[in-house]
Amino acid sequence: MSALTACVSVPAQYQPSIDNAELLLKIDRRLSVGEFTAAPGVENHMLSARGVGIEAGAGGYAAFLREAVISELRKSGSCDPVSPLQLSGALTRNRLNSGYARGAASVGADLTLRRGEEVIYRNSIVQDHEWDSSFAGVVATSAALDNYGATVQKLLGKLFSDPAFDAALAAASQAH
Amino acid sequence: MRFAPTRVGRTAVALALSALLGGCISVKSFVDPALPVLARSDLPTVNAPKPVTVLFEFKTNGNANARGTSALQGRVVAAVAESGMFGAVSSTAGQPATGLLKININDVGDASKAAAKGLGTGLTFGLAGSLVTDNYVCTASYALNGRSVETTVSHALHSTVGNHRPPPGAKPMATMDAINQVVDQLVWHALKQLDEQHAFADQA
Repeated sequence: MSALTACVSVPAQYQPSIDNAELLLKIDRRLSVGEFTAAPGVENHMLSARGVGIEAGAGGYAAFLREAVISELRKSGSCDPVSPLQLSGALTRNRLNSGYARGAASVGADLTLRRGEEVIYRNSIVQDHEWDSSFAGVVATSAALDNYGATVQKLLGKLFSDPAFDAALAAASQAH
Repeated sequence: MRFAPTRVGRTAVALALSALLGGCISVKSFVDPALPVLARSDLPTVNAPKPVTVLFEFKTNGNANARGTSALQGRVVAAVAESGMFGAVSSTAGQPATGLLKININDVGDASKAAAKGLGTGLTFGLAGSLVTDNYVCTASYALNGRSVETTVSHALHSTVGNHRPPPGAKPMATMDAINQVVDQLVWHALKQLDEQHAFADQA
């Protein structure tokens, strides 16, 4: 089956969201981005929709999630590669289903914020997302591709809107 | 093999299915004539234009569409810059004393119906042509110094695939030209409406 799904593939793409940019503008802190890995047993290299592979690129979906974080931070002017406040993570769930009527994705991550060596925030976040799919493969695949990115967008929205995340950043800035 | 759809919206779906089945089938695009066409000279003059950050998102039925955003981001920012209503135009936030212009274009409709039409056109090698419409709803808001104003503009792009009568009152265009015109007009109408709601009044 994997041989078949590897025949045709589309690259996964991510777009930073306006809502997330607004959340980060309110937080108004600059962050660096550390390592993102995939937890054991979590699919990191091949998701597919109707036999079409969704390519995550080098480093797999964990790297895709890392790039998503970076693009969100860049969009809001919050990315600083030398900031002592560093966000890292582990992909803990990664599922995609493209049915004839409904599509669904579930993405989870353990996200950790450090100031230097000190962990100042840690949270496990799971985002489920569903959408209208189609009998037509080209429509279903296109929708799955778009909505996988939307699922990651929502996952990061949960992080950026978490009051504990905001509080940890505020406390870190005061301590600094 | 890599599948990389470049067109945005339901037209792409109908075209893909009809082309797959029917080989070379002609496509013509038409900008909906209901929304008046604004020229640059129709836009308001803003005294002492402020710098602005443009945050743009393209969505399909309310969900993020990264390919659409990537394809249209440059055009949206260029349309804002060409309006002459702002100083420096950036697509990255973070500069102080900068207005924030959020532009969301949502492509609303039923892609499955478009696919069914494309299938029919392809099976008849273009004889049973189809008309596919992409409806766009643009929501734009401008915020500066804690004050925010929002407006909405609707527009549409029609495409005929194979042998089908054009929509009344619309002229055929190349698909990319039609998409660019729709984007430019959505942005300019939104800016004009924001100005009519005094969004830029404090800039003088």
